[in-house]
Amino acid sequence: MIPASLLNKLIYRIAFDDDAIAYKELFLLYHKPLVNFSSTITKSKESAEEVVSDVFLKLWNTRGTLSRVENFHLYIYIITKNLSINRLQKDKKDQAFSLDDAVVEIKNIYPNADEKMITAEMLRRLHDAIEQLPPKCRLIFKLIKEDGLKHKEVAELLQLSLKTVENQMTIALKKIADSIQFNLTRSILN
Amino acid sequence: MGVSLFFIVLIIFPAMSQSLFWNLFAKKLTGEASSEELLELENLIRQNPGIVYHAEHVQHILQVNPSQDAYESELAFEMHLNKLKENGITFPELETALSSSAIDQPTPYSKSKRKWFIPVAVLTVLLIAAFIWNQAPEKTKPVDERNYGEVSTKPGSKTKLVLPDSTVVWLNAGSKLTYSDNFGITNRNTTLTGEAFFDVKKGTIPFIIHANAVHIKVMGTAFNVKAYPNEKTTETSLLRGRVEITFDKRPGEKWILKPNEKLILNNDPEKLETTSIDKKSEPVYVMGNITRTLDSTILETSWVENKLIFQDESFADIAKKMERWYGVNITFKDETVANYHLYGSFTTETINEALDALKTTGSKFTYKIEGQNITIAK
Repeated sequence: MIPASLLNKLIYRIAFDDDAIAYKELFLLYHKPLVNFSSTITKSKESAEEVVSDVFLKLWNTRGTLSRVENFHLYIYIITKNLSINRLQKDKKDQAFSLDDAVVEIKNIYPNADEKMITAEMLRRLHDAIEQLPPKCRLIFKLIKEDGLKHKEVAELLQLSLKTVENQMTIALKKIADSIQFNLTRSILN
Repeated sequence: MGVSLFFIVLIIFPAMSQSLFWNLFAKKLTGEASSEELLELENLIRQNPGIVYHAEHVQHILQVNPSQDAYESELAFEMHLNKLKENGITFPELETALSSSAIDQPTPYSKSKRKWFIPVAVLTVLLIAAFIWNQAPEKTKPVDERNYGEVSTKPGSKTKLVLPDSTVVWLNAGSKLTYSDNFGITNRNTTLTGEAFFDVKKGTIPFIIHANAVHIKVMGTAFNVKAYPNEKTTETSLLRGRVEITFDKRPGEKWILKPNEKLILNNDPEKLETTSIDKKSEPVYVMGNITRTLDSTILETSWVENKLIFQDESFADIAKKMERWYGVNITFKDETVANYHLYGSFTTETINEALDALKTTGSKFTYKIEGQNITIAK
């Protein structure tokens, strides 16, 4: 996760010094996560790349007001979501976006089998458990676990109640725990 | 005994409390648990101590890996800079080192007035390039295409370069890219031996790569070409856009790749081997999909991210990759060892670490390093 101190420093330099190097660093930090998030809405990596570029164009153009943004991490995700929905409507002729349609790709949480000392089979079960989560649940899980958003930030981003977000996260964790537990007991019994 | 106790504890932990437990645990993970909730969590744990082990295991397994895809984001930023330029925004301090040193303006960015710096900087870089890098000997080429620019890498090192038309090229170890005179003006022709990843700037002039006897025509895309002179095949893997491929040894044929597709061409179709047992022959060409590993890393371009990945390859083939990667010579004293099939993924620094890591996968072998030469035996 991006440490708050680094983020604040970069935003300060961009907002007050027009610092292009800080701007580039910010881009490099957020590019991949935002493209992944945008793809869940636009369903196209190409469109997602363009959306993220537009997000950063907008960021530069409004850099004067950046220091007044209270929660930049949430802010940039909200902008990305809005521009992604616009893009989806442009690409697919006014198709409305529904969370149940989200195409969620989760990459960064899967451990290296040898690093974390889990078997390939356990990794596969974990992978399956996550892939089998319903789209909305998986998206919420990814935003919290991979993107580092808090429950209440996810609620605001996706326009859901806090309760819903907490419930979905509970379901996800329980399913994941069960998938690993199954293997745990198997290997213990061996 | 402690183990079976743990098993029993999990069974009798009531289902409703499990949900409550994960709910509180999730809040604790994001730092959103109130002090009452933290106390409640502690109580639950005290009543069911076995669950802590389980929860910690989950947390340990789900550690977020730091993304190592820096280069893709770098490429994306280069393209983003172009969009900014179209909107009248330029960043002189992000141009090449040569141009930024020429500027001593206090304001870090400016609008169109600074644009003339960019072609000057590029020209300067080209002139220096012509000086420093070796000029290739004259080859038989059409008259207006003398070699103009050439970049090569030694085994063991990689480099990234930006061509005069803003195309970005990552050159793998032991490779060479040459581009012709008038590159960017009348043509965008290049010649490649070895391996490179291209992110071609969109343009009206077709970008063409000659690699072995294969010709790849592009109009603004991202793809990988593997064309080592001593290998059997030439491989093109496409990430974005479209490319058109022709092959001297199959005149009249043309392959068009779409994103995620890959084409492997046999460099010597006349010398194809046929195993007499089952009468199967090696194919002249194979069209397939880009290989993604379990964590979605693209196998064909993992080298650009400094990852060495092999999936079920023979040790002999892996050794060839390692020779290029590290700039060493590897010989096998034992044929059976050379035929081991291995899989692994490294972001290693040294050849020792890589070989040691391979040993831990269970393959039995020993190795000896003498300077640049490595011998591998049983």
